[in-house]
Amino acid sequence: MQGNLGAGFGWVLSRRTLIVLAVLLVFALLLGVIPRMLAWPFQAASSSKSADYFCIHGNELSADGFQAYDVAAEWHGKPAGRKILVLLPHVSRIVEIGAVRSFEQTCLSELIKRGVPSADVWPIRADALNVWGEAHALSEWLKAHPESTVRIACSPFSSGQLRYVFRKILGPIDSERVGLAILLDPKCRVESWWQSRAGVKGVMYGWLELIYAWAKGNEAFPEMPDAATFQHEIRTQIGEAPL
Amino acid sequence: MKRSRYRRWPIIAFGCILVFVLAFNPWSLPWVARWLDVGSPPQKADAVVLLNGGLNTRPFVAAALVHGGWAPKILLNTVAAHPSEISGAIPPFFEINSKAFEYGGVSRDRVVCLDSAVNTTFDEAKAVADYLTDHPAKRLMIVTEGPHTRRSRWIFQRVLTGRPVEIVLISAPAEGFENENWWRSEAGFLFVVSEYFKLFYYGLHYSWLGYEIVVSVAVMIFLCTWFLRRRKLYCPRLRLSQSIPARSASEATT
Repeated sequence: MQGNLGAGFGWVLSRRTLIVLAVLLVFALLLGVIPRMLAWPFQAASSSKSADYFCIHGNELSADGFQAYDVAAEWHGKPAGRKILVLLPHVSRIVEIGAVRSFEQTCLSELIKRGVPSADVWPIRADALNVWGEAHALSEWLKAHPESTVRIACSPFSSGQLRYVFRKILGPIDSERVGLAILLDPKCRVESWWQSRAGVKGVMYGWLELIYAWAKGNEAFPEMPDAATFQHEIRTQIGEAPL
Repeated sequence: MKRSRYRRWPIIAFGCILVFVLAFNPWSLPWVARWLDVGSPPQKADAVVLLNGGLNTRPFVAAALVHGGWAPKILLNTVAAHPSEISGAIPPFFEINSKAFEYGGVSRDRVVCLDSAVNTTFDEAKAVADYLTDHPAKRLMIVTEGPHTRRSRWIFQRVLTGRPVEIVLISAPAEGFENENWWRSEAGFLFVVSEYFKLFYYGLHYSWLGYEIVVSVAVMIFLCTWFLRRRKLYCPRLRLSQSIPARSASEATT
């Protein structure tokens, strides 16, 4: 007896094959094989090469990677004399109006709190609005420091896009000098990403970022109006309520 | 029969190309974001509800609404503590929003703090519903980015069912993109595409409609399989070589 799945397309699967495929599919889902395969771009291990600099990136609200400041401070102390780079993003409106400290100020204070002297923290003024901007800034810095090697702290879910973008911008030779330090959140593991909300969001955004980087390539971010201009524009659009 | 089998492929290919062209056409792409944006012009309301997130845009819009006299106060939920907040690296989101309100000319006494430690838009709607139990309102303006308004409206309408309160969604500008060019920036692409995923998830998780969709798809798959099966059983093309024995020459002549 023959099953008919696919008969409309000119091929036929036997009932036994269909049952075996269905059982395999159920097992694959139950054992998490398929979800784990979905997270393959984010499962790479950290770079094993030694580096002279540890690099932190992010925005005014958080650094990329789990407990990036703790890891950077620990890395700085073993052996002594290592330096920490901070890739500085574009100054956002909430920084401009003083609602939060800038990324540079936050990094400095958090690292000093953990025993890193401020002289060992080197900011790179990237003024970046996205990963492409950060990669360009780091590329310039690497040209000025031809002997240096860098490890960039990141979360597993942003590692796929970072690896792709940095390779694209730095080229095959310079990208060898840049490795990733993937900082795992013990509560949100890549191997079981579907079991937590943060994991599901991480995989979804990780894939979308990667797809966009593959499809669109180097992207220039539009100009952002400053706080005063933005507020004026918004007030003009909204206007006054009728009495 | 054979001819129709081979005619099917050009039709399928043409259909795929048509869907692809329509989906990725600069003329049709804005509609993908416009459909999500159900924002409307401001109306006089009892309060502005500011949804957490979009710190560089949303609080400025909420402040402009209160400053312009559209509403007397802002309702703002507290957010479940962020790791950076726990470590003391950044202030609570409530404080950040409040600073933006002050910058927009709205004093602290006009901000109502809903101490709810929310994680999702659904949590925010539930906290607002709880607040409305003791502080009834006729109309609320909810501020969020344009592509987030459809899901927000759906959530608030669902959570506030049975309460005599009108919901007006106000679209704040999104950072780095507009509905007309969302696919040209990474921020727009992430926001709009993820919003469709979230809508689908919310449909499944919070609504019976979601289960109906799943059941409908399952029934459709079953019907298609059944149809293909029947087609094969009664289709001479597929049976000829397999089960019907070749007729002998004498049978053929009779």
